[in-house]
Amino acid sequence: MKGLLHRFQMGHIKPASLSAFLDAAVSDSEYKKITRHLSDCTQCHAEMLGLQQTVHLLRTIPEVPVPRSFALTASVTVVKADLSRIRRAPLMAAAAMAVALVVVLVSDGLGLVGPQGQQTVVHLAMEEQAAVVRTDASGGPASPISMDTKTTDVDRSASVQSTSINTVDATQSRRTDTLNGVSSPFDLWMLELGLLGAVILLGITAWAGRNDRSSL
Amino acid sequence: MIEETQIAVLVSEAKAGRLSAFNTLVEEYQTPIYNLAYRMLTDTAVAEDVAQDTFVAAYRKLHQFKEGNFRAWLMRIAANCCRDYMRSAQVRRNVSLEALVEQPSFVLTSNGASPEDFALRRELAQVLQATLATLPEDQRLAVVLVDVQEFSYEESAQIMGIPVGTVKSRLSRGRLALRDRLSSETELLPTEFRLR
Repeated sequence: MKGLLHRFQMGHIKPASLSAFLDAAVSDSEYKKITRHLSDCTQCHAEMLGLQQTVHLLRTIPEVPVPRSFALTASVTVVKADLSRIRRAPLMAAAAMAVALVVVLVSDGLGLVGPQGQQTVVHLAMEEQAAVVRTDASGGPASPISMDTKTTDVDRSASVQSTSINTVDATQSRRTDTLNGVSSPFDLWMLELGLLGAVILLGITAWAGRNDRSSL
Repeated sequence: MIEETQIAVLVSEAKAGRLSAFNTLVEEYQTPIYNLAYRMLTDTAVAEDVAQDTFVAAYRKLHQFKEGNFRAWLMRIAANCCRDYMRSAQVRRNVSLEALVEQPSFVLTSNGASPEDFALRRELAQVLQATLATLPEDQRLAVVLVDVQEFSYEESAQIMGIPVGTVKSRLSRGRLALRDRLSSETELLPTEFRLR
């Protein structure tokens, strides 16, 4: 009667406590409490015996002999290190592409590239051109010179001016072409899409390479 | 068995680049490392690969080992290598208990036992290994470290990188699951070892 009352008051022992009890990994007071409970409670006693048998069986599992020596050779350490670097390459490339994509997206968002940026550069080129024209128009020689020479100089100046304008045109045209290569909304969209595709592809390659241990 | 002081000397020599010193450590610890890999992965060829990877990784990370229990540090690398392998997509397959029992994948040395004893022990080891393989990874690691390889709770906690209390709970759950499985499939165990 006393034992039944005791069991009712205490409840059954938790499996974690029984498991630790088997390894003597409980405090002295808990050890005494569990021992006392086990002497009264057949259910917990049977639980404990089952666990004890299981642990005993696990401890009979023999050690497996190693099939060979795992000692390293100088070449193994080098080759493994190289393979590791090769496996990391797609991941690094994916990261670089992702950074490039972010830069392009941010630049696009801030308007650093695109139609506005193009207009700014073209505007600067036009100003340069105007400056050259002003210089040539006001830049006559200060010393007295003959009319023929003046005429020739004016012709030459006109020719130089024309050449300057042509040069500015060419520069302007080149700059506009260069900017057109990346800055029109359509091309920028293509670039962003291309970078995104590259990030995804390289990411998949890196992920597949990580799982492919046969390459080791 | 190499003494602790000598282990420390070998580790510092290996850190200085002496491969032969590191290989002395490999020879010392290769059996527990290979056994951990085999008990976790149930395949000798895979265990061989994982054990080799463990030593290569340890050699490359040797500078990260400051001081303390070198064996636990090495076992932790091995446990991580096993975990990496198990998480790889290639091994996400269901392991049939019966199939594992029917296909023994390791050789057990007889140690001079009688042929009957040897056969019995071999059969028991196969059943236990197959049952271990059905446990969740965290519980299996706790059971293998504490019950099969007989590491202390503290050392197991160090290897698993978790508190001692968590080791106790994982071990307890693993033991209970094994007991239930072995009790419900008694026909797989040799008569003398059946749980009552």
